[in-house]
Amino acid sequence: MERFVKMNEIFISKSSEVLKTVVGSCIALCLWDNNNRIGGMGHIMLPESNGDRTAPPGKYADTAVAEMVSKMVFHGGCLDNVVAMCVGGASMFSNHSSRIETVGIKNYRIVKRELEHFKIPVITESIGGTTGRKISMNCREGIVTISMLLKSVKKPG
Amino acid sequence: MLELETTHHVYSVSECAEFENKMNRLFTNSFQRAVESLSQLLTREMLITKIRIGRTQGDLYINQLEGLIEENHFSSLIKVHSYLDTFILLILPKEEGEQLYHILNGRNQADRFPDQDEVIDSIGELNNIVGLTFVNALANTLGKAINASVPENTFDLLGAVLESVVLQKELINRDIVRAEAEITDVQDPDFNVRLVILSEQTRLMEVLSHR
Repeated sequence: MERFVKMNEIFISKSSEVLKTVVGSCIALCLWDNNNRIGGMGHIMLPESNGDRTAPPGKYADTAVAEMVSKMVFHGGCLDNVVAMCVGGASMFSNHSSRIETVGIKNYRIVKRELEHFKIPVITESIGGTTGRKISMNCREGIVTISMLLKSVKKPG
Repeated sequence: MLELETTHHVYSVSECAEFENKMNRLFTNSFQRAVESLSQLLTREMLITKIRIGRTQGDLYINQLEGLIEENHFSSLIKVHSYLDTFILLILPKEEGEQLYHILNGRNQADRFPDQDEVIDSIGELNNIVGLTFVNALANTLGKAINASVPENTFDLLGAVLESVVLQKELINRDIVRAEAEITDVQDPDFNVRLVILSEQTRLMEVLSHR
């Protein structure tokens, strides 16, 4: 069975469900507990909540990671076994120079900071660039597949 | 009873209803001008088959497009910053993009498949005319000078493209107005173009309330 993880959503599963999503500037964060065979995916939109308590916790990097960890533990996961995979943070239409941090890269930086807080190692990452990414995660096997378009992007002038 | 609040002014329900009416007229007229220019450019009779105008938040808008998000589309983006923070996105599915290349270049479709860059250039040219026609119509209706960027073009997953537009700093975490027109060739209903306008709501309300 497949489930599409929408923007701001978090989904954790112990079954052979395949979680998938598409990200551009957002970050798809996958967590995997190999011993207990629990996987989860979050589709994180923005870096910091700045006290916004009305938003779903999956929306901001600083609240999403804690929420995902808490849900992994609730489903029987053990924090010591959990590893992370980060995908996304592209800058597809950005005119910013490389010295200015884009939303995508800021998202990634806060996700990393929060993962370090929980001592969760990042074992795979595919971050930045100018293309979107399609991600799927088999929650029983912990297999994450990332596909991105090989393309050239042209800007006039 | 109050429904919408901005930094400077609290809008009443009747003012909000008036805003909706003005907004609908503004976008419908501007779409109409854009389609006329599209018809001229393609030498085909193009018709607007559907217009959706509403107020939303970016993430909700993207999540509503679930069925299309995973498909690759050709997209061209024009940014308007001088008076309104508005983003104009012209979107074509892959096959339509290739068809567009043949129409604009006068080639027979049996000749050859265009490469991706050629189609990307074509959609940029198309948006340069159609998108800017929309901007001009917007400027004429508002009686304001509006400057627009050159088109930035891409071929990518639609969800990723829209996500990147919504995450522009002018739209992030703000209420936005989204206006979307589906445009179809009368003779060939399989040829569809989508024009999507995302505009920051507060400024648009201010502008329209003075008209």
